[in-house]
Amino acid sequence: MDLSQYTPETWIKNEETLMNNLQNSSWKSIPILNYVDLNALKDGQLVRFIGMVQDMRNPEYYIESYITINKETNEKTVMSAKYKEFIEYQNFNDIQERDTVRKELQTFYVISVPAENEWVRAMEAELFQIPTMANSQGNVSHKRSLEEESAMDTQEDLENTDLSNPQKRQCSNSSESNGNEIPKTTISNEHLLNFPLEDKNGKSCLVKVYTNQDQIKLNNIYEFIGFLSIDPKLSHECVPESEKNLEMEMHNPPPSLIPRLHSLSFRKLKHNNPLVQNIEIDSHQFNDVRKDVMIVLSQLLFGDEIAAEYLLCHLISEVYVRADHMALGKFSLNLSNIPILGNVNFVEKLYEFIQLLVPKSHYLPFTLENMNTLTFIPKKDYDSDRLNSGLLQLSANTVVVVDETKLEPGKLDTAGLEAVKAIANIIRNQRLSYDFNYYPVEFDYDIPFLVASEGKSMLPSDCHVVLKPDNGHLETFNEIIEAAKFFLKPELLNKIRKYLTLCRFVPYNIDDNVHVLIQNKFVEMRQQGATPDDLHNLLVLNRLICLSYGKSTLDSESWDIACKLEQKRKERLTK
Amino acid sequence: MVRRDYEKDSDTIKNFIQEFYKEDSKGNKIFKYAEQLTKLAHREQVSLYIELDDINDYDEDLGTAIVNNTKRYSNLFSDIIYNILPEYVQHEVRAKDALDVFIEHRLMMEQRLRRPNEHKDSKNKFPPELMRRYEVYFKDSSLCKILPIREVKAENIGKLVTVRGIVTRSTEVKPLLSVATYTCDQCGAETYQPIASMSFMPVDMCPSEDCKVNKSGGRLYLQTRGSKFIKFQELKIQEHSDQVPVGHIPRSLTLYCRGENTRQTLPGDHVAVTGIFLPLSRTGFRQIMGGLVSETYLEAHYIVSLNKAAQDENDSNLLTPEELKAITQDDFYTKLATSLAPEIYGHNDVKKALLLLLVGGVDKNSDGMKIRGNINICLMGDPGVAKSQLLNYIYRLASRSQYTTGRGSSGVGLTAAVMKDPLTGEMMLEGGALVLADQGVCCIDEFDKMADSDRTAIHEVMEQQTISIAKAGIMTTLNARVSILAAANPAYGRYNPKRTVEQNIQLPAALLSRFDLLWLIQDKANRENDFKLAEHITYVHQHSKQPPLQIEVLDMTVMRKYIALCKLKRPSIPASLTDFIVDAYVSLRKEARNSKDMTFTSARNLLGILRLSTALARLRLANIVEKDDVKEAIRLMEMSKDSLNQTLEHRGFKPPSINEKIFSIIRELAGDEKTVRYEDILAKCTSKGYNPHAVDDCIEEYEELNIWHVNQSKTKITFALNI
Repeated sequence: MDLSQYTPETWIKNEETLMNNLQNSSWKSIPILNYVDLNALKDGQLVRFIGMVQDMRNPEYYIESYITINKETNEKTVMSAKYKEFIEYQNFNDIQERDTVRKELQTFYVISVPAENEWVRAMEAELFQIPTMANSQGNVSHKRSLEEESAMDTQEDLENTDLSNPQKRQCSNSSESNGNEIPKTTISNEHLLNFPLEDKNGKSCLVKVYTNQDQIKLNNIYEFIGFLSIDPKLSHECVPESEKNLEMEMHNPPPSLIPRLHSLSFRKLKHNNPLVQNIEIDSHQFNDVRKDVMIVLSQLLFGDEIAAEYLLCHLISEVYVRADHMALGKFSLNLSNIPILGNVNFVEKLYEFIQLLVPKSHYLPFTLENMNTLTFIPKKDYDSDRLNSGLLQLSANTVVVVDETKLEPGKLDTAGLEAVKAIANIIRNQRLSYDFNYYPVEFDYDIPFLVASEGKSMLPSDCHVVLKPDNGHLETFNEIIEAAKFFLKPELLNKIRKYLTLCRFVPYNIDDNVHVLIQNKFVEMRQQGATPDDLHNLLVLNRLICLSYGKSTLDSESWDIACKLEQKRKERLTK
Repeated sequence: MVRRDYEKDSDTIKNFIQEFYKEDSKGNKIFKYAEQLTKLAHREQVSLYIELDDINDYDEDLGTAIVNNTKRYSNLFSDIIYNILPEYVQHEVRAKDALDVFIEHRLMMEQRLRRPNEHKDSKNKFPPELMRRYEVYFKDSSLCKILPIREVKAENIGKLVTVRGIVTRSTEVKPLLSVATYTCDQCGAETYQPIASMSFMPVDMCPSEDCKVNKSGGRLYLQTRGSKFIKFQELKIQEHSDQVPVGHIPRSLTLYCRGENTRQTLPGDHVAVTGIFLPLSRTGFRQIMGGLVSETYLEAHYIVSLNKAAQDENDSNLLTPEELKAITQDDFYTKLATSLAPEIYGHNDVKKALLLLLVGGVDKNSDGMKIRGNINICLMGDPGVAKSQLLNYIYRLASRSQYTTGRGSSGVGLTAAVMKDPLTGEMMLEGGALVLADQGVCCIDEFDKMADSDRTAIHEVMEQQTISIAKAGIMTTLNARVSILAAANPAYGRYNPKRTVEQNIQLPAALLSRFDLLWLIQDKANRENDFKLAEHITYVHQHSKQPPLQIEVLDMTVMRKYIALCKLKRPSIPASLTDFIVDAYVSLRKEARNSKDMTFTSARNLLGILRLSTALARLRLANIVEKDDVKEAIRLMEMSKDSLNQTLEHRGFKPPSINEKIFSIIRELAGDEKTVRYEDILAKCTSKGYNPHAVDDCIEEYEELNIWHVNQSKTKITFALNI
């Protein structure tokens, strides 16, 4: 059966085979809410949505099955209300209260992946746009006719699912007439959407999950498949004024803004790079691409190859194991000694390139004003019963570039201090406590911070690299940028993007022979006053270097490279 | 499903209420519920709590039925009590409020007007809801498990459940209409409408006989004074932080409180609530919405404000014999200690000390003198030696604990603050970390950076275990029976072994001496250890997990349960051990004097030894302290002192020997004189605790070195040179 033909009714009748069918077929042909205009979709259609879980609601109870009795014929029918917003019954039917089976479902508020870079969106939109258009009833090019059609569909749906409730009819009629207009609410759309970062093209969705709710965790990225529900009467607009309250309005936003999705199935996404479909590691190609990356990065860093090595490691770092309180694999970098160039801001330029290379990144100018005024830590709002997002509510592997060169002397107030503390805490432990008023709740993070500063940063870091700019490069920085832009042809750019994502999937092991080397090195390091943390960092660096070459085992050769690199880095520190 | 025979149940319930009794110590029968019925009848009591424990004793089958269909039985109980209540009236009841007067009047009117055998319209009869002035609630059986909010699921609908949580929101207490009374403008008859839901449809046509017959179309008007209102409050409770799985958001639950259950809690309180889990029927728009998805609420029956102590006892009950057996093996002491923060390598003695801190010693409270049993420990050390991680682990392990830094982030700080309520303008006491951790552990990181006001208050906490507040017209003493686990950084980055503890930490001796154990954790390069450490770290990186330990690590919950179990014991110190302890203390004191000690040895150490040994006995689940406990306590104390003193030896600094000390005493005694009398020396030295033999040895030794000469009769010492 074609996936687009699925309806809640057919699904329930034949759940097992259809689920198998769904699991085995590609999800790509299903229209994606992230990029397809809501007007092109109809109520009850099978759609999918990719996003980050921003908030979780309390569980709700739905009626899994109920029996209606036809008053005239006394005929009993078993109905189900799963995957639907409204209960169906005709006027002459009575619901047998006793036989209703209630089950639990949970609603998740899912938003487009925050800090997702332009190129990812553009690429995905291109990938997924075409099949949808083909599916939606004979390539409708005229927008107007499309609208009419969908309006007609809803009309039909209404007839089928009629509650014969005048209030409802009124309501749906009124909303249909101005379906495209953004409804006037007391709450702004930005507030309703609750994005951690400003996101013009961001979409969001209320996903109702019927099974395996426990597997969904906050701030993770999932792909949901389910039936769309955009019935206008779901909006709080239809609530009589007397029954309104803030929580009600927050929980029932207009579906034109935030559609509902009744999830059939979902899967966790390990990355959001559209270029990587299958994880295949080809270490030969790795070396070539690595060379190219190094050329770009070292040129951007004024010819400093050591800094470039560290920056590369930073970009592919990931927390790979969490042993109770330790997060191993984190590799936050502090680039200090950033030169101040007359006409260009170096950090901004560098970020421009990082933005092109990684799927998710965010640039944070570390100014007093930003620190004092922006909301960083998500906070639970008990009045509207939701988690108000903060800038730091990001999904794993989002590269955050903190520009400390923007910092000027001044006063950091309480809020700013809290924000600095929160960032420091993420760098140190890869954890952040959200404010639940009565107690904090800790969430695991995996966000590498790149702090660019003139002197040593006030924020902690796993690795501190003093930049050593080459004078020739300093003078010709503008030309270098132009050259780098020219060098990064689309084909190469895509290769690099793919490479940076794939690096994280290289299996990794430590060769037994290296153990002795490590131990000797550590004993030697200890004589110079190193702490166990230094060894952790050294091992992480080793791992990242191996991965960047596509090597899956740490041998003495790579160990030497890493040790030498560390030595050179340390020499600069002492100077 | 077979329909339950409710008729039969009614009889059982009736008998239960009337006949249930408990025997007190003297063997007198106490009719628990019958006595309360009398009070209800006289309007001296409003709510009647039916304890499920009692019902289960009486008829277990009925108890189960009640739990599964609580609402129905709640009504049954109410009806039965209504019927039998008149039997319990022993004297005339005085009207307490307007409704009582109203009911009285109506009853009198009815008696006066009623003609015999007259048929009465049911609508105009007084509904029992109006006449009832009592409330019936159920109290869950004590054996019943308290559910986390997360576990309340669809299958619990309609059942009695008990949940635990923190109150996050509460509405004002509002009157809720429970019986509406109407009067007809034509015939004057009164109509009553009992209301069970949150909203109702008013009756507007008079249903009385007169109006119907005459077709006069009498209109009904609502009589506010004749209607019955009950108190109503909506609460929201949210899960405790420890019940939230990793990566999830805490869940909440709506509570409806009526009558006497209102105004029991405020936002922020920890509560356990017994209630019926019900779906909410809405009207209007919400009904359409609710057709599919219904909101649920818990109708509160019994609300208790919790302190976590009560729940600890529950935990200990849950320790199965197998688990207990697994713990109480020969090496359980080491095993428990290594199970603390297993990812932190080594530091076994520190972990042992922390284990004892968790278990705690026994409080003494005789003749008005209170001696704390809680053990205070201070960890010091260079930055980056896992102090904070140890603290953090203890914070997570202890069932009641607070984690804070010396510079408390909120204005409340460590102790307590008087705050002005923004709404009411009332002054309120808000407890700080120490108050909140009452009967638990308070972990204070960066102890040295504490605010001055907190520092003065903490003196009191650490010995008297109370906090006195005298601020803004509020004078009170709060309990703070806490064990303090502090971590402090040395004043100048690194610990300087040549200075004393006070100088290093920059805390007054009075405060430091209140710690039973001071521990210096140092990070020193040591070839053998470093090898092991490197291997350990490499293993973690290679295998993405901790290397297997020699001893399997106990699970945190098992640890928690075991510690709770230990805390139930109250071991005593037998008289036979007194001498041993006294000797041990005396030798400790002596040693402290004889060596250049960087810490202090005071009477507080003796108490410390006693606390540690009782904690050790508790750990063995024993009732009597044994000699080995005391030995181990002294060993730990010595180890903790060593950790502070040993650093000297490594730097080639030797503490003065006894002879050197005696020599310096003699030098001092001599002053400018060249000769000193032997008698004086002996007197001075013995007064300082040296034994005469040691003095003789010293004199001999220095004589051999030709420092001084001793005369023949051994009465005088003459210094050879002017030194």
